[in-house]
Formats: sequence, C-alpha cells, structure tokens
Amino acid sequence: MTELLGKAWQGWIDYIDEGKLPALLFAALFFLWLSRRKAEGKIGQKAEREAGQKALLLYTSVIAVCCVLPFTAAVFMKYQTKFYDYEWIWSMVPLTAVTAWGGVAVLEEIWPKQGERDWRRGLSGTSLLLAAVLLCGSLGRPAWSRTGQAEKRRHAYEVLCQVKEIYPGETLCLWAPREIMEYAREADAGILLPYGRNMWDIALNGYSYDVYEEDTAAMYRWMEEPGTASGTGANAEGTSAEDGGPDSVSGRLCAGYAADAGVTCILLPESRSSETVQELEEALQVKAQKLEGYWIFYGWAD
Amino acid sequence: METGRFRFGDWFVTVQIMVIGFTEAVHLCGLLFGWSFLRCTWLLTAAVLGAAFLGAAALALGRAGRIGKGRGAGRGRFPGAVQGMPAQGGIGTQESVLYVLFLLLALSQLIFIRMGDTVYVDKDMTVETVGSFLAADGIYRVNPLTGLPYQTGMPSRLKILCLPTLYGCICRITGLEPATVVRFIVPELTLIGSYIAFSALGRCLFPQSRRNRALFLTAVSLLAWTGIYGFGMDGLNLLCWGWRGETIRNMVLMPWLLSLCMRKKWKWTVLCILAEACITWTLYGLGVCAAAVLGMASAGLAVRVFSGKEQGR
Repeated sequence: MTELLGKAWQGWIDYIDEGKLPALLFAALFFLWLSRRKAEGKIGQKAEREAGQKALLLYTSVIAVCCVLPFTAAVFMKYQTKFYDYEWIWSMVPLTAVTAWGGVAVLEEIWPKQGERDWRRGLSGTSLLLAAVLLCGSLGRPAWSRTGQAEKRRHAYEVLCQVKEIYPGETLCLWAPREIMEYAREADAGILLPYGRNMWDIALNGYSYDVYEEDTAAMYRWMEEPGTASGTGANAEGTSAEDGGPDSVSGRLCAGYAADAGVTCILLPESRSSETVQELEEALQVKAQKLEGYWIFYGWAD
Repeated sequence: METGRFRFGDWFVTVQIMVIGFTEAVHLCGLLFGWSFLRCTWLLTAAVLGAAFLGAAALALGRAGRIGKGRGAGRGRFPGAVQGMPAQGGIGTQESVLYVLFLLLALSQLIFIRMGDTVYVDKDMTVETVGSFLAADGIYRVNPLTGLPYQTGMPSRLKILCLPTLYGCICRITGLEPATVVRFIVPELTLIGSYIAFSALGRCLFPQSRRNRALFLTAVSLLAWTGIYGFGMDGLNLLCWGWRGETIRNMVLMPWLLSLCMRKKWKWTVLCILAEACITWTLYGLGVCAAAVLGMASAGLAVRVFSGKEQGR
C-alpha cells in the first residue's frame, strides 16, 4: 500500500507537470458552484434539471479531489488494476465536459446583453479565457516527439518491400535492426519475427505471458550494438562459452541462435564492419547481398 | 428536463454499443470454438444487417402507426418516445457562427488524424493484432508481435476484448489494410461519435439555449486540441489514440452515460457498463462506467436529501 501511495502522489505530480488542464477544471468547478448559489435564488428554475446538473457538479468535485489525494487515488488505482497507470483514474472525472460547461457559464456571465460596453468586456474576457485554456494545455503541443516518425515508417516499408521482392521463399522470418522490425508486422502480418516490439517497448509485455529466452535477448543486443565484431563484443551482455570471453556474444553465435529460432532472412546495417559481415557469411555459408543501406543474408541450409 | 425523449444522439450511441455487443458475442464464439475469422466476419455482418433491418422495420411500423392514429410523423420521433418540447425556432446568427467555428475545429481534427503522422503507437499493438487475425484466419492463434504461436499464453481479461475482431471484420469486408482502418477510419468515427455523445450531454446542461449548446461543443473541441499534451488526457486519446477502448469509453460512453444519469435513465446505463467490459480491461466487468453510475446516483441522492432538508426548514 505504501508503494501505491507513493505511485499515486508521483502520478499526480507527473500528471500536472506538462499541462495544467486539471487546474482549469478546478477553476470551472469553483465558478459553477458560485454561480449555482446565485441561480438558486431565481424564480422559475426547473427543479429536475437543476438536480441533474447539481449531481454532476457534486460528482465531479468529489471524484476530482479523490484523484488528487494520495489515499483515495491509491484506492482508485487498486480498483482499475495494475494494468493501468495513475493517469487513467482521471477517466472517472468528466474533465473536458465540466471544464467546457464552466467556460460556457463564464462566457454567459460576461456576454449577458447587447451593447457596446458589454461587447468590449465580453471580447476581453473571452480573450483571457482563451489564453488561459491554451496556456494550461501547453499550447497544444503533443506529448511525444513526432519528428521523423513518418519518415522512419516510410523507410522501413520501402526496405521491407525490397526484401519481399528479393526473398524467394514462402515464409519470411526476419531478423533485422529495430527500425525495420518495429514496422514489419504492421506492414505485413505474414512476416514472422524472432522477437517483437515488446523487446524494447516494455509496456507491451502486459499483453502476453511469454518471455524471451536469453538467446533471443542476446540476438537483440548484438543487432543493436554498433560496431560489434567477432571476439570483441564490448557492449554486449550475456555469456557464452564458445566465443572469446564471458562478456561477449559473437556474430557466429547469434547466427546460430537465429537459425535455431527459425529465422530465414537477416538484415544487417551497412555500417557494420566488414569482419562482422564476413563472420555471418562464414557462419551461414551464404553470400551477403547489398540492399539499400543493408546487407541481406538468406537461403542458408537448415 | 425531458426524461422520455430519445434523440438521434442517443440512438447513434446505442447502435454503436449494439455493434460492440454483437462483436463480443462473435469474438467469444471464435475464441471458444476456434471458428475461422472468415466465419466470424460473416456472422457479425449478418447480425449487424439483421439488426439494422429489424430496426428499420420497427421504425417504419412505428411511424405508420402514429400516422394511422392521427398523431403525425414528426421530426426525431422514435417508438416509445414521449411527445416532448415544441420545436425550437430557426438557428440565429450567434448559433450559426458558433456551429461553424465548432465544425471548423472538428474538421481540423479530422485532417490531423488523416495526416497519419500523429498516431501514438507505443504501448499499443492493435494493428499487429488485427493483422495476425487476418493472416492466421483465427483469433489469437499466434502472438501478434512475432507471428509465432504463443508459448505460455495471454491474460484472459485481454483475450475477451473484442475491438480487434471488429476492426478485423471491417478490414475483411472493405479490403482495407489494418493500419488504415485502425489508425484512420476508426479514430475518425470515434471523433464523430464523441461529439454526438457530447451534444447529448450539452442538451442536458443547456436544454433551453441552443447558443450555449453550440458554445459547449466548441469549448469541448478546443479542450480536445489543447489536451493533446499529456498521456491520459482526453485530447491525446481522441486525436492520437482514437481506436483504443479507453478512448471510446472516455469520449463516447462516458459523456452519454452522464447525460443518461442526469435524465435518470438508469436502465440504459447498463449498456455502457457492458460495452466498457467488452472493450477495456476491467475488474471483472466493473470499470469506470460502473463507478460513474454509482457516483452519479450517490450524488443525486445527496442532492435530493440536501434539497429536501432545505425545503423542510
């Protein structure tokens, strides 16, 4: 429970770190409660409609406060299960709806009648409100970096197209750098992979009970470590009794792991050393071919 | 407040929930009986078309019945609907400007989604899952991330969720690629469904003022834009994650559910609770919608009790 309380508090800090829309919600709630007190004195309000609106206001206020306080937030996190992080407890709070409702109430207050004086007050009030919304929302900047995403996808699709044109067999099980494997299954569900995106996107491990063998993990590390050559493996983790040292994984060994995993085609970045390419050629007994920025290996005997 | 009248927005969301329900039934059959995905597609298509035919027939019969009884077929009347408020006058200048502003914002969001460079694919594998259903012609026969058979398996609470089956059926029927359906078509439909659901809520908040309803929708659209900054925010869910069950729950089911609670249509809230259980991970079927219904019911009770005490003084 202590851990959950800590996560709840840290979750709230992170939740308001990038933007302040929750603050706008609380401001809207404050204004709506204030204006409700004034409206209750008016004659002719429909009781039923007011009751429904009041219920929404009360519900939102209570739930929003509960999402902030660590203890109640921890209870909500327990209810929604560990599958979801802190920010998802705010799904219970109608943040957008009530903030919009508050905004409309404010605008109704500052634009009540026709007239020049009200028009100016209304315009300046609306501008301030708009500025507040934009600033609280971090001016609408997305949460993640989109730079290059489309370009990476396009590049991967082009390479995969070329691989499929060259590869003669029916079943393609591809082992390639991450930037290609990331898009392989989405480009063509017929392409098999020895490991998937959950090798680097840990959140996807929640979708399956399967875990990767150390051999498979070693393949990933070897493929992603730049400049790895036979016998050095300075950056590679994992152990092997067959290669030069306990802390290195050789290309020859990984080629063996790949063949055992059913891989039928390997893509290696052109930037890898010629020794590495040669090592794989010797291990697989095939000749590497050039393919726009990559070396491609296929057609070895089982 | 009108408590009996079901409008277009209500029926639109109800139809979406019915489609989710049919998909869930077909998905579970495919899972439990090992049916081919093609068979599941045909079954779902037959179920949806059959329901559409029955719904159209019921509507036609209902209208014919009303004409026969001399009530006249009015705008927006459905069987069981109560004769509600008199029709409002034409749209004024202010409302027109606000609706145009809202439509421009919504259109900009549709274009944003269409651009395709804006989807957030981390932590999500829906496209791979749909693709694996189509390639393997079965539901969860292979691990979507590798295309190889599962060694251990996957959580049951994820396995029963039906959205990948629905998207796969759409791919099968239309011939579109999974990435196109999942990242473009579905988010655009979710965006439209979301604004329809919010308009139902707006009608509860501002039943007398069309101008305020237009302003409400415009404000919602603007908040969706500005909320794109953070994970879990409605804006990011709607504009970058529109295919996910959490987005459909937060932006379609929740606004409609709140409007149902405000109108005291408690029985219809069960549809939202069941739909959520079919599209998101829940605690044995209990999720955000169930908590919201409980919360709104409690808040309504508290309001009634407090109002009663005040009147009793």
